[in-house]
Amino acid sequence: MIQLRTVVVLILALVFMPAWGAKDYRLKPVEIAPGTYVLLGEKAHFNFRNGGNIVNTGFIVTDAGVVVIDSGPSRFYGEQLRQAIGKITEKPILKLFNTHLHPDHILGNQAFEDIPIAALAGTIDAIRDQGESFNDNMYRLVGPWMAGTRVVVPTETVQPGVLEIGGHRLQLIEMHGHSHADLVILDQTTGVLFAADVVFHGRTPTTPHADVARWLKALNKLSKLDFKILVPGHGDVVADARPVVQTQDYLQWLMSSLIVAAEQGMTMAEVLQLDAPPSITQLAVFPEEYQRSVVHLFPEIEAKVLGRGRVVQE
Amino acid sequence: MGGSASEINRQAWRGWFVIVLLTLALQTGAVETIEDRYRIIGENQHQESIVLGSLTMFDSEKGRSYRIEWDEEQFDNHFLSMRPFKCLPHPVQLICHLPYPYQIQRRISDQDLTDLEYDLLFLHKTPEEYGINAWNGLYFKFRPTENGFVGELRETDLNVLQAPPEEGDLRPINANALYEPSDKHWLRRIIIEKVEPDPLNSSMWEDMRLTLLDGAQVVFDDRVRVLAPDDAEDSMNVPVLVDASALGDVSRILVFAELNPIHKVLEMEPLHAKPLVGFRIKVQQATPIRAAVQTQDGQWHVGGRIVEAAGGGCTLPSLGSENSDWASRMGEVIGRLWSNQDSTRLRLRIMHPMDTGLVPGIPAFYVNRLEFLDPTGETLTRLFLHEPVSENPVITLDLPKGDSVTVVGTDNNGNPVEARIMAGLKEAEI
Repeated sequence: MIQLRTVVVLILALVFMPAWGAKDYRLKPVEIAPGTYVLLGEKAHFNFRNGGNIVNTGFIVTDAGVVVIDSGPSRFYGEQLRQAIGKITEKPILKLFNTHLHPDHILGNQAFEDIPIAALAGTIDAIRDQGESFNDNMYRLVGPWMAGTRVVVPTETVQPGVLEIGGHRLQLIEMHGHSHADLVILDQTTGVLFAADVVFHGRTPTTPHADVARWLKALNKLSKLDFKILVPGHGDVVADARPVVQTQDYLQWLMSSLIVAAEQGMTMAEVLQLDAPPSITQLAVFPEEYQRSVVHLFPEIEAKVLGRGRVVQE
Repeated sequence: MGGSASEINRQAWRGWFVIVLLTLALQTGAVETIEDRYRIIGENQHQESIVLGSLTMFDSEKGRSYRIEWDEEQFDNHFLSMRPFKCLPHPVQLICHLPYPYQIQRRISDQDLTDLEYDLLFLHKTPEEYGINAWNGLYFKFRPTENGFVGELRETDLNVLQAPPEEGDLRPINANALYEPSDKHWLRRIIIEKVEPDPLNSSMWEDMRLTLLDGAQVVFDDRVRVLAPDDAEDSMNVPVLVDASALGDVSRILVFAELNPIHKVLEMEPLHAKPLVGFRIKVQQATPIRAAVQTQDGQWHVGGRIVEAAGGGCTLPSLGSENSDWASRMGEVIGRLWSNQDSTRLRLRIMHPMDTGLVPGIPAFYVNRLEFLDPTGETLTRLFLHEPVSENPVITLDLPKGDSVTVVGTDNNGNPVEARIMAGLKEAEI
């Protein structure tokens, strides 16, 4: 029966092996412009299979060294991003930018602790305040992929304006709306716009810290920038402004639906059941993100609507 | 262990075969049998009942069969006449179960419930009596009912069981020697009633039924609509709408969250309102959210759904209690009326911290009672809120048509809530 036991052990080993050791995100940098690379994430939700890799990160290889934009959802991701950069260039990594506070963009920071990590002032404060709770929640959502991850707060405050690095002119733009501080980076040398989560493409936008009215203004401003290639925070890279329009359309639909529902006297649980047109429902993970957005946005809209009613109190 | 290559191969294949079987068994959740669950209930002269255990009915090769699990908590252990007995305690008469000691097939049909009767034999004795006597037999004569079986008390002499029956005699108790029982026996009837399987398969359901619904029979009913998100994005604000309009006349609605540290969420006496209520709740972890709706005939109808959650909603301080000026706005009401086809919808928000008492240093402090009146002072509907209702409760109701509603209520400290909500919008806004 030795053979049987061996076989059982082998099978168990095969079944449980993925739970052991470092997780592999199989990151593949894609060159979208000279020296400019993007690592595309899944258009999905955080889960135990994708390990939180639902985000686009990127890097620019300049003459002086490498500039990295966002570090991914975990320590493993950050480390593997760094290895992926090392396979493309031997140049040193000069700087990491965190575009905004959300966990999928910042929890790989640990792998870049030896270099300056730059973010907008509002982002730095928010990561300091909320980073740990993001980290806890990510463990719940993607499990072992988060092993050994801790929050590393950015060390350098970004001043909006133009930054010249190794022959690239990077325009650093502060926007507001998706979160209270969104860093958008336009590489004027190549025409690549790293739009961060101000723009989603083919995936439903997320709203946990959104101010939708400001977000729509930001999109308007962003559409006027002179770019050739658009890198959204989530979804495919394109050479036009379609994702900007798509994000605008979604946010407008979302807000007008919620306002109309509130004005009709619908209760929040009823609003969760609303129908949407195909142009909206075709976006990846729409049902889940819509339900989340109702919880984020409806209470404030509802309070305004109820506040206009006639109430007499002693 | 043979040494030849073919022998090893065969052994390895056998190993694989076992593994494949094991995998299949794990995936399909073992062999599938159709099982029905029943409750075994004892009833006394006053129709008061206790649950004695459960019975599982299943199809065997021989036909319908069953197994019984007694609820050990209901019985005391006694050692009587050199044998252990499990007895139902009572001040004047112990009733002790007599496990049938001989061969029994446990095969029953609606025409023949004898095996079941043999498994439910009892002996009675007074607490003072020394030992136990087999002639004090209690026999429950069973017949099928709409949702199970009922056994009526008979007396019989069980001395016949002192010696084993003849080989192959499966019915040694004389069915003609069952007598009308004396009034002194307190256990009059054993009811075996089918348990409706919980569609949400919650481990807490039976506890909830016993504690919140006093053990009442329920039906799981799609006409009790419970709307809520699949996942609680904010565990302090999970929107819920309970709508039992499809049931017609409803006397009471009880909403509870089974895996919350405080189960009861809200009660409603609809009176003149539609049996519909919208609100938000705090959840401590993923939980079934359930609404039990009692119709005028006394029947409970239950609906519900599971909400996934990261957790912490009940043991986090309210935002208000962390903010120093909450007291100045407490009890403030905003609200509005909407005229619908056959009703007037009222939506209102009451400023209140709704503290659960589960946060160290912050006592339970919540609005617990709201009454809604029409302009003549008649009560339209009543709500009783509990700790899990979210901070600054937002309530939605469908009331009889009208253009003015007064809400009167209190919190658990006696602070009043009072406001009148009228149709139309504030002048300045028009």
